[in-house]
Amino acid sequence: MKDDEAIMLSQVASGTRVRIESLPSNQNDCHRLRELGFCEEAEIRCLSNGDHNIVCEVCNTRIVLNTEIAKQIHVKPLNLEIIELINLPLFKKAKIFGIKNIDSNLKLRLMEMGITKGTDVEILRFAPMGDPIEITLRGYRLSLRKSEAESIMVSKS
Amino acid sequence: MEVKSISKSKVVAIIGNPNSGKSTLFNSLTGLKQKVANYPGVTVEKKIGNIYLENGNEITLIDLPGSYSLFPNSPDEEISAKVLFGLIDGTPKPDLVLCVIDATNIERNLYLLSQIIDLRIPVILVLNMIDIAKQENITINKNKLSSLLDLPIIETIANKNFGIDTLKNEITKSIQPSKSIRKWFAEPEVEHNTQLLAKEISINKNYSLDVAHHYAIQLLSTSTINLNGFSTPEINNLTVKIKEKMNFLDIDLSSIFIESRYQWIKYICNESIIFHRDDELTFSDKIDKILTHKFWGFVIFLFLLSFIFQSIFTWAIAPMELIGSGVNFLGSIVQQIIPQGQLQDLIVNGIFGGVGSVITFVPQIFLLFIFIGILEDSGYMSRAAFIMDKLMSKVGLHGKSFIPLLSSFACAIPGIMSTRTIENKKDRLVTMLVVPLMSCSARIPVYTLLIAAFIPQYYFLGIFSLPGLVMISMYLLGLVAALIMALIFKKTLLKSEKPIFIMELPPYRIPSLKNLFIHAWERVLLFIKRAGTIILGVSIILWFLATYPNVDEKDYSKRLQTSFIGIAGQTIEPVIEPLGFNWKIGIGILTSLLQREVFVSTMGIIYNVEDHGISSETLQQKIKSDINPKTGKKSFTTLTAICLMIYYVLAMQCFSTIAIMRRETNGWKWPAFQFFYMSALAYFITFITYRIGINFL
Repeated sequence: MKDDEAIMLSQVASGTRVRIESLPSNQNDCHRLRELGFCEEAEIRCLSNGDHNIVCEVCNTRIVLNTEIAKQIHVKPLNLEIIELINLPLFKKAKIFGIKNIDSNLKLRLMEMGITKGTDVEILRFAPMGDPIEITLRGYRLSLRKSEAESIMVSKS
Repeated sequence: MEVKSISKSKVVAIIGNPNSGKSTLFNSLTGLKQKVANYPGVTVEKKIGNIYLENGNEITLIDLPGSYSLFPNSPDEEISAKVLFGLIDGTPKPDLVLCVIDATNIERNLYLLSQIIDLRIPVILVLNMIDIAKQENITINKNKLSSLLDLPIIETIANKNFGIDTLKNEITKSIQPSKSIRKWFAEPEVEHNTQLLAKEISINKNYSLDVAHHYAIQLLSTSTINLNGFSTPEINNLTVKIKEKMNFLDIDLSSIFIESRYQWIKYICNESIIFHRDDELTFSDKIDKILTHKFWGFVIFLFLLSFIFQSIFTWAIAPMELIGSGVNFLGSIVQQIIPQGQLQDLIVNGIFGGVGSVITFVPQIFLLFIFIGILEDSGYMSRAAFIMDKLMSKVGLHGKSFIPLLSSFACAIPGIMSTRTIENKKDRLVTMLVVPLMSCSARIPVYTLLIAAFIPQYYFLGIFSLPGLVMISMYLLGLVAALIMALIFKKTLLKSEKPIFIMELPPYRIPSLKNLFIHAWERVLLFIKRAGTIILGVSIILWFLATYPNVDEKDYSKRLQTSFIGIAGQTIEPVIEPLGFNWKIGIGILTSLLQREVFVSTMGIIYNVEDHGISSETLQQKIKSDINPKTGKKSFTTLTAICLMIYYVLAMQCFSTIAIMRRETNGWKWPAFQFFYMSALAYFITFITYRIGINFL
């Protein structure tokens, strides 16, 4: 199986991240799925895949689908390379994947400043002495120390 | 028919992210009719103004400190949150909130707004800097945004007074119960449990359900269970139970609330805002390419600083002299009105001499705050912190600590006042503790006198003069001592994690003159107020100690030498003798506890320079030729002069600084500690210098 081939959601192994390619042809089903966050291009994660149903994480919520519906949703596995933000090359766009388990106040602050899953981020420059760094996200500029940027994980796609 | 009287004026609070133009809006609405006070128990400033609406109603406007979130990360943010919750004594819960949002940065700014909406306080959304958003090709569908948020939206350009009248009209209409309700939701399981916890908090703490819900989220999303004694056992138990359950369900509570909020925000933005972004560099990017450049960044930074300090010294001279002569003129009038005697002496020498010489620093403080304001409002200040952070992190401090250190080359008082931008309490304290070690302008008269008298004009390589080098070494000594002491305090007394460095780099903007002046004027008023209270009191006490008991003695030199302070100066001679100082210097040190430059005038009195006009000898020559009767040697040598300068670099000889420390730390503990550590440091270093130097000089 090649990576860029679309497969049925029901075939996806637990733990895999996929992007939705197409939804069922039935308008009603399609509408309901969209309301739940299953829309084209959305990235979701399969949490568990059983005999009769499949649990997916969509936009931070867990949703159970029965296998019948899952067979009608076509997805492509995502080949994500997860790295620390600090290792991202300059001016290379990436998506925030998450923040490592660090001091909860620091994590809270970083997230409140908009560093949340799926946000586009880019390193703009390093300070003259190499530290801190300047990043851009959500249309504004933020400066962080390297040590803080190490705990932010991003996915290059 | 009963007439409903509105006895109490309505309260409107302005809140917004830092750099959203919140204070500019406040100034536009109130003009100069504003009061600055402190919230009880903290050093956060409370700015209040009054505005009059068209229907004749008066409204109290509160300017809340700039905040990113109502989950507080600094004392400033804590105050903002608590005022909105109605939990601060003496500050009524606002009837209406103006949430100021930077139209060029809506996405992140909406985070704070969504927290405020949750509290169900009536809100007007003020979209500020709408002109810049237009320039940047950001199209905002105001009606759509307004209907999605269920809030009235007013577009303003606060620094050009655009939209202010419309805003005032909207305030009249909007003071009524809010229709807007919370619109973001986490997944049902989380929502359900958060509601449970909110109910428990609401019952236990007697908070409204909306405020309780806010605290429930805070408790669930941090690992700190107690929130500084906020929790009761019932709340704690429930929190732990919910956390265990969520953990079992593999739900990450620390991120779920914020992520859900931002998802909703993203939806709002997608529906109502269109960015026509081209990948061209923005104006700020172009400037940043130079200002944060590896080489030019530092060059420009150093150039800017030297320009600022140079101008503070040169431009402030004329107004300082004007104030000085004004004080002298008033003093001479008093001299004519009040008959000669103790009262005249107290007023002329004690009060005018003491308070007057402090007042002469007003122009310097005003100018420095204008410059700091320009740096801050233009957006350069955060770049300076960005450039300097690595260096400051070596001593465990934040890049932001650098500016207070530099400001203190002019005067430690604005330096201490400017530490307010440092979020971490301990880091702020460390910065305040070391800031007075920087050589301020009050030390210059002492340095100048001693250098001119004892350091020979000698040139190295034709350009570096020895007096100049000595002067620079004194400045460097102060800087090095400040950095070392900061490191020591960070490692011992005020141990804390390396400060978190998460700082927004706002776009460059042209500062508004009106704002700069209002801000600098507020600082000056604070300073004058202090001069009028604490410093006045201390001046009177010092005058008394320097005059009594031999008040009738006509020879000022003798009167001073036999006064309480003179006797004390002689009594401490054994203590200062190891430093190479005699009792005359002892008197000088004691009288200059109020402020350093008094040392020069005291020496003048002791050596009778002013009174004996016949004597052609200047003070420099007098102290040079003074013979110590005990040893038969000169009392002042080059070594004494150097030791004395080192002593003045390191010792806390400034009552104004002590007074401002007391104000900023809310107590005498830290100023007292600062006084003792600095005196001990000064004594120790001077002693070592003297002991080593005596073998060479």
